[in-house]
Amino acid sequence: MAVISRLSDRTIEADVRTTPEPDHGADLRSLGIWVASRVSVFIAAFYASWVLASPVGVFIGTGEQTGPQLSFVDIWNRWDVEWYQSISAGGYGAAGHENNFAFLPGLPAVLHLLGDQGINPTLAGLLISLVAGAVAAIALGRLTADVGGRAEWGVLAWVLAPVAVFLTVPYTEALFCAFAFWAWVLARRGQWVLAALLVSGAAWVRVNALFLALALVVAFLTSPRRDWRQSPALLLPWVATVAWMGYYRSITGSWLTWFDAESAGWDRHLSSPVDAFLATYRNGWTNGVAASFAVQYRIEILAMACLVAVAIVLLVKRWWGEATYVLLTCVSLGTSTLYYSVPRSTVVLFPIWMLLGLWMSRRRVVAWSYVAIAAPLMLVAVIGFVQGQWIA
Amino acid sequence: MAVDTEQPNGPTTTGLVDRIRAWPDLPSAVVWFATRISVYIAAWFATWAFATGPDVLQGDGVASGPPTSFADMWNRWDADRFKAINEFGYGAPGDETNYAFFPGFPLLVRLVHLTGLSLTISGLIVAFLAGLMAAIALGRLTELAGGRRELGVLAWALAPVAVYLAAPYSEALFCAFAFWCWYAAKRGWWVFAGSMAMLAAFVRINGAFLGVALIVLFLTSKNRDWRQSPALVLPFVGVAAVFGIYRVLSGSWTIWFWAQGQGWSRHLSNPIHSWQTEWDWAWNYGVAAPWAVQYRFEILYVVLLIAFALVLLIKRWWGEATFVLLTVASLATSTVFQSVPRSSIVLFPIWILLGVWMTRSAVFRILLISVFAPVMLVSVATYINAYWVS
Repeated sequence: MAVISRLSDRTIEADVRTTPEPDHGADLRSLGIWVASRVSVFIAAFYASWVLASPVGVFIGTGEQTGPQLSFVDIWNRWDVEWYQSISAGGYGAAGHENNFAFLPGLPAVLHLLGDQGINPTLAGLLISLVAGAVAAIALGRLTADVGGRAEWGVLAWVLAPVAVFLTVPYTEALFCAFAFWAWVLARRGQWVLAALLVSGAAWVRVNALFLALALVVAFLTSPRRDWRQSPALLLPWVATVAWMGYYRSITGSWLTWFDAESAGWDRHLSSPVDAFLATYRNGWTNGVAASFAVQYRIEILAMACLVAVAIVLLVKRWWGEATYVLLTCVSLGTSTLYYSVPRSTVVLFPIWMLLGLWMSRRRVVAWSYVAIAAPLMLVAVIGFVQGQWIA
Repeated sequence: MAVDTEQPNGPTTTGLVDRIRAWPDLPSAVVWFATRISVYIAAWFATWAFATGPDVLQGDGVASGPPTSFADMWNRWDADRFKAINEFGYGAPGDETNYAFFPGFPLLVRLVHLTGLSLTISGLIVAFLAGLMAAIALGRLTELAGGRRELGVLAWALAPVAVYLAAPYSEALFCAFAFWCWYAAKRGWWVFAGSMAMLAAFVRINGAFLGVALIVLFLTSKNRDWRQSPALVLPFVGVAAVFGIYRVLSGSWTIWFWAQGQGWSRHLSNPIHSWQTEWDWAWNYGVAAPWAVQYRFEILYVVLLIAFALVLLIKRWWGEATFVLLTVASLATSTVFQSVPRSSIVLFPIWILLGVWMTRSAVFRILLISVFAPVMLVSVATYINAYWVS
């Protein structure tokens, strides 16, 4: 308790020891930020579900006292959630969700396990995100401290990310972060085998793990803790990817099932970066797209610009592994038909949050500005999501 | 947050930046500015995100923005009524109950409006600047009570209904006068305090409660100075002046009471009866959820305010306790509890107290922020979409 009570107290001095022993006080502070942000997000969602339960003009309802139509758990059952549930309940290629191959088996497998315990699938997804996010928060705190920032600022930057709603929802982001962030903590310590194992775990959750796998190779090659005896482990993430592709093949007979599902279900094809940008621009400004969606396309473009900027900063700082991870994500999102969920992709890109955490630790004005700008965007996105609006 | 302590004898500073950095009220101002950024961003993003339903992908063929401009989206509920006072005057046909709104805020808005800015923008500017003044006074009051300036301001600016500090409503202006009144009184500047309370009484009827509280503070204060005591009458002169103006305009001394009863069915009522009525609205009458939740908040706030009043009494903050108690009493003896949360925003003793507690305990600080911020920002997002926020 004494440790928690010092949370966010700026006079805390870093625990300086000669050995790089983990600072458990910092871990607790990271965890504290995660828990506090959960309180905020759940309160926002719950309160919004009441206030927006019926249209503005309706004062007296049906005569019976009614709450919101959806329960606190069901408000989170939006967009992709039903896809994950279709896999955990009906398997891949389930009727009505034939393209669910686009969603990798990691999260649905855990959902399935929890579903066997009789837990409501949406609630199960929320719990997975809650726990996985806590695990990821500690890792992110350590990464931030590792580059000279204060652990809790990195975590704060991440949980206030404008699209941090995706860390709460029953999606794959939080679970992926838990694997990816810890993989990087271990990689920075030179524990390459363990790092590669965790990236392999991530590879079953989101396809972005391949970018992380390449980044891991770059980090290995540029690391002073390079240890060639451990190097074969760097192939593990690729083996894991081939494994789920093989699993898909055993169901559909095709190695390319994932690609087919992406293009059939989401119209994602390879496209030139210029065309991708122009297509997004038109949806944002000139195609007469409704305001709620248009603003999301504009945010996609803004997010892409920020990502490129971050990548450049990382290159300048010679954080080669981190830069690789961000750059590959940029390239893959920027060469798809349309920018799609670029903001959402940023929550798994730990280099952004390490960097922001570092800057926020150094300059109070950066900390204030970021919190003041990001918090309202994040909370409005939460309200939007639980009301069924599209959030990029 | 850059500077916490006053350094009157510090090194001589010449540059503007140095002077700003050495300004002891800077932390209070920074909190005010930062929360303004948050509130405006939340409002702006929410108008876009909720401009069309979730199922409408293609609009009307032209890229369309939100249905209301950034200024107009603030023009909801009472903001509209205040605007109408400037446009059509008091007692305009169809709007006779607008006597319920005291003239201080509309007058100042009209003054800014002379520059050519729209009435809504003028109202937002008045609220912005008045809030800054109020924040500085609140910061100082928090410090006098042993807390960090910026934390008292933060509690206030993140208050669940702090949307009314941003909207073109009279709350921020009232706070500016009321908070400075109290700061002056605490320092023993009773004439200044009385004048501020008089101005506050021009803005909201709560100025009368402040006047009574000021007398109690005077009587219990070590800085009591009887030569200045006649100034304590000023707040009541302010209320009388408003009623006099109303008398000239409408021919009736009691038009304000009539407007309250007519427009909001606010009559004097037995508090137990008010409680039961409120309870029925919140849980039993089949009121739609967005409204029912607001009534539940009203009840919660009455309980919380009474609890705070008890704390103030225990701490022997007699003047502060008087202000809170009179406010609670007036709201709880109305037909239904209405706008109790909104009224709490002007009750500086609460924010001082929360600021002190936030200074003492980091756990309390983080907890309060993580509970207040989302409720406040959701209220902003729904207010600008025309939902009722009490």
